[in-house]
Amino acid sequence: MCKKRYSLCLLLLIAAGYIVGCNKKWDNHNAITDPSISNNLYQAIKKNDNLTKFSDLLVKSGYDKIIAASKSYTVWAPTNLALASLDPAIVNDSAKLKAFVGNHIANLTYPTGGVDQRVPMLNGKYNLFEGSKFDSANIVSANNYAINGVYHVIDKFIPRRDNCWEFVNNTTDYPLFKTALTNLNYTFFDSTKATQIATDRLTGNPVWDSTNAIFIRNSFLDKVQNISDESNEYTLIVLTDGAFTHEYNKLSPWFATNNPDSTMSLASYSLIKDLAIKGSYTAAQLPDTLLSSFGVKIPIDKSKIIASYKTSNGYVHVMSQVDFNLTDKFPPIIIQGENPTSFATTDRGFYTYYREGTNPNTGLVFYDILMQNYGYSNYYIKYILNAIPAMRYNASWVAINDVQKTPLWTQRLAIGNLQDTTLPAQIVAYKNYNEVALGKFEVLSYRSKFSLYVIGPSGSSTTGGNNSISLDYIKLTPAF
Amino acid sequence: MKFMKFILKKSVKKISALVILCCVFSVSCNKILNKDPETSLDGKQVYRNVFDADAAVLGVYGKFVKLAKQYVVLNELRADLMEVTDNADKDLREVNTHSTTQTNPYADPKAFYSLINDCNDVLKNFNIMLKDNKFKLSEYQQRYSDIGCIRSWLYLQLGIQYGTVPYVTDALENINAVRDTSNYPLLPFKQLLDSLITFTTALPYQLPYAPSSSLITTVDNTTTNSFFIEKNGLLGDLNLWRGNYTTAATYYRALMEGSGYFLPPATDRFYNNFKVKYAEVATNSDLSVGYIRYKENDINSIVDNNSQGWRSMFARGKDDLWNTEMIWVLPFSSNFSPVDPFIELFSNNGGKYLVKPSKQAMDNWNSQVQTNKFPYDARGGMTWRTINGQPVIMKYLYNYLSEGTLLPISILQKNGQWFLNRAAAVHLHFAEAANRDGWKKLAYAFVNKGISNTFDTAGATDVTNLENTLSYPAPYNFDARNGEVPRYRSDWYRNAGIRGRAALVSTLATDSLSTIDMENSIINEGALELAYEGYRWSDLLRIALRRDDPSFIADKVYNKLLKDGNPAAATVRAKLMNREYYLPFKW
Repeated sequence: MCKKRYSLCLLLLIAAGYIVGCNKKWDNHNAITDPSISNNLYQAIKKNDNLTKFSDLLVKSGYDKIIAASKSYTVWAPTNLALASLDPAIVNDSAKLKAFVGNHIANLTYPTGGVDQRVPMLNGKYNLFEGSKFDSANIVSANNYAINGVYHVIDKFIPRRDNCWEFVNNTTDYPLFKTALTNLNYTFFDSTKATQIATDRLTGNPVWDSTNAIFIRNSFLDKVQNISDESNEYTLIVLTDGAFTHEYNKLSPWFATNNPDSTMSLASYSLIKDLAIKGSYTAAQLPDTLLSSFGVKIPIDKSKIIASYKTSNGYVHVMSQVDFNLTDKFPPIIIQGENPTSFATTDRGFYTYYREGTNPNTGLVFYDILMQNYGYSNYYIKYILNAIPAMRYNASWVAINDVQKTPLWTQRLAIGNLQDTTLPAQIVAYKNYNEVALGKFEVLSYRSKFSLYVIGPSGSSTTGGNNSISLDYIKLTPAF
Repeated sequence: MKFMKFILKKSVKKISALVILCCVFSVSCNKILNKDPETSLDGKQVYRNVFDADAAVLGVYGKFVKLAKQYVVLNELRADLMEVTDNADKDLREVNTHSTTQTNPYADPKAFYSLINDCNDVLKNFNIMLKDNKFKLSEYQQRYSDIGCIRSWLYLQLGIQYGTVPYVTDALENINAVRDTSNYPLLPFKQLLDSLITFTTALPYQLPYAPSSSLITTVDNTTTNSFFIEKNGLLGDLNLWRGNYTTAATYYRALMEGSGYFLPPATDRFYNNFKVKYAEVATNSDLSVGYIRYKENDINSIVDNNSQGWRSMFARGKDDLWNTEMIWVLPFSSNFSPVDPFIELFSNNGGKYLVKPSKQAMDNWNSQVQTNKFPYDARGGMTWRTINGQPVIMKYLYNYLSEGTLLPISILQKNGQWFLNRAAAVHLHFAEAANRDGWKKLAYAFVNKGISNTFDTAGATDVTNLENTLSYPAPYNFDARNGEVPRYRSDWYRNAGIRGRAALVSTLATDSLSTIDMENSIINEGALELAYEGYRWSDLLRIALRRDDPSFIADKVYNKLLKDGNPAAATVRAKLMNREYYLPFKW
């Protein structure tokens, strides 16, 4: 018994000895050995003799506190030499300084050697970080680690740049282009941002305090390209006043209305809608023809580029001439037969066939509409078109009759109203899959809504295919 | 002493009372302890009478339905019409690329042999019952032939999938004895077919169970007609595989003809059943691809619902119209086990969506032309459709998804069917046999617009010498005359042909087709009509073996994998070109 107790004591003693002995080694095994990561980013930068100026700017802009925090950051710090040329106006304006310093700091850790990417900076801009370059600056000392991130020393500061949208708004050199763009501003009420102050007793609709919920938006940004978006890159072509006037005068006749303001806004929009494209092209990279978001060819004569500006989200090129081709600006209008707006009556659905077939000439699948034996004299199918410029058009259609050799029926296209007889009636030949020319007509003024009618034969027959209408598509080709 | 005596007396009394009590208890216990178990039977309680025999038959079919998933996966995913989705597991992907490993459950033949062993046991006991006069000879013949055919069907499947397999007809205590090659040598496919033909042909009964049979009843709310294997159909298939074309055609003809199938002559059932009947254009109460009358030119007027038209054969209840087409169909219901495996396999709503139609299959449907000139085969749109942006195989889901919304009617109510044989398949197989037997035009008629149309002369009113093939020898002599002066309504006058029923234009004219071209056309029609019902791999394999042309199968599978961007396409092609058609027979 005694022996047993003795050995137990011995065991405990040995164990205690081990723990005491281990103590030091245990402490050492996870002690910080790399002195560089005993500092946060701000401390690390402050200790770097080559970065004293930037470190002062950090303090002045308040970013010293941010990059000392526990989130991780990457700082691209310009050397003292680089900052010697910084405009004192920036240093003395706290807002400008904040934007300037914020243009050198990003959330997350970006060591060198990653994929080339546009890195979102703390000032909301994006800067390209690729290989050993940060935007146009060279990295002279890479991957200096601190507790909460990494900093790279660069040989040039990167000024905060305007984006394409800010560029146009801030410039005073191209007033016509700028006006055309800013005329598209509109106010927008965002109910999610507003406070409801009452409920309308009669309608039950909410009544809002709109103080903080009215925003200015721009339909160019909505419909063409959102050139104010920092996360994507764009190329914007700005026209000098001379070039703008030249192109505007080419376009304005097609937007004739009885209101000069409407004409101006329609023609201006028609001009500028094809001047912004996605993707960033330097002047050297520009091809001789670009394709706009609406599929219109933009002819680029590089000799007419009078200035190019790098923006935070792409490039702005100022050009003294962009000679749009009118046939590109006004492509043919195609109206698909199987998408009618309405019919003469709503009760002939049973006689209306939506078909799918293969056009033997082209080998392509087509969809069309066919009506037969509907028993209604001068029955019509109506198509409403949007935004039709004022000009002469050559009308044609593909009307497929693969159902009967006899009788061959006639149908006609009426322009604008049912009584219109500008275009003659056409016999719909058996198995003709080609476009049939219908003739010319003119639209005298620009129309936001415009009706076309495909009118069937007169007489109301319910047999033999005498009452038939067929339409694959109508094509309106502008005749300049 | 006196006291002691008293005690003793008392204890003796007590003890004896105890003993007596014990005795009483043990006697009464006897009954309690020897009570028969309620949930299982012992040998004395089975095979006593015809009802026990019926239970054995239904038991075999109950186990048979568990093969449904393996059957469809092996016969479709290995072929060219079905593809795996991104959700598919490793096992399905292996089947798709013909690279199954030993642990792959789809490549495991055990389930087949387990059921074969059950069949062997049932057959053995039926023989004992007959010897002991436990049931009548006619009852024996019907049930014995049924289970015999099931066993032959299972072996035919094993042959198709594994090529060389052991042919075991003894009832084994342990199915692992199948592996004993000294007792059960591996039979190559051809020899297996010979053994199967010999056995199956000799079975004493080839017709369906008589309507008066105790097996034709209602089980779990479903009538049992069409539960059972069609024996003439199986005999046709076995002979078609073996190249006995006339014999195969004779069996198929017997099935299509319905003679002896309890169909009274000159009734609707007689004219319609298994004859691929023409469309009812006014009511659309048919199994045809149809459009609302006089709106045949409108894509929106297609008859696409669960009670009319071609699609309805996969959706409707077992009514007269259903019976005109469906020959062998087994149900899955949420009320009883096993769970319908097809919902998990196909549905992206309530299922796992593991497989989908291949691009190759879709292209095939979209390269057909309908009689109304629409550039597709409407059967494609009813076989699969896009749900939530995903292509979903629909044939098995019409009882699960709601007709209108295509959402599950009730997500856990997994109802469905396993379609094992139907008239269109028999017609196409008959055409295949007829074509190989030299009756190309008749084969053409079956695949295209039917006998009456094909053997007609435009404008003729007297059809006495038209619309029939009565000058052909049996089983190719058909009478499809349909005339007014003189009046004919012959047995086959309603036959519309497979493409006729699908409202498609005919394939190229019969005269310009070679036997090989005609055969290609028949097999392709099978892809359009029977996709995902488990015919495809066997159709491709049968032709590749018959022509000894591995490219017939290899190119199709290759194109499927290629079109769906599977990098294994070339490897699989090389493997099939090397005639490695079969799964490894691994236990």
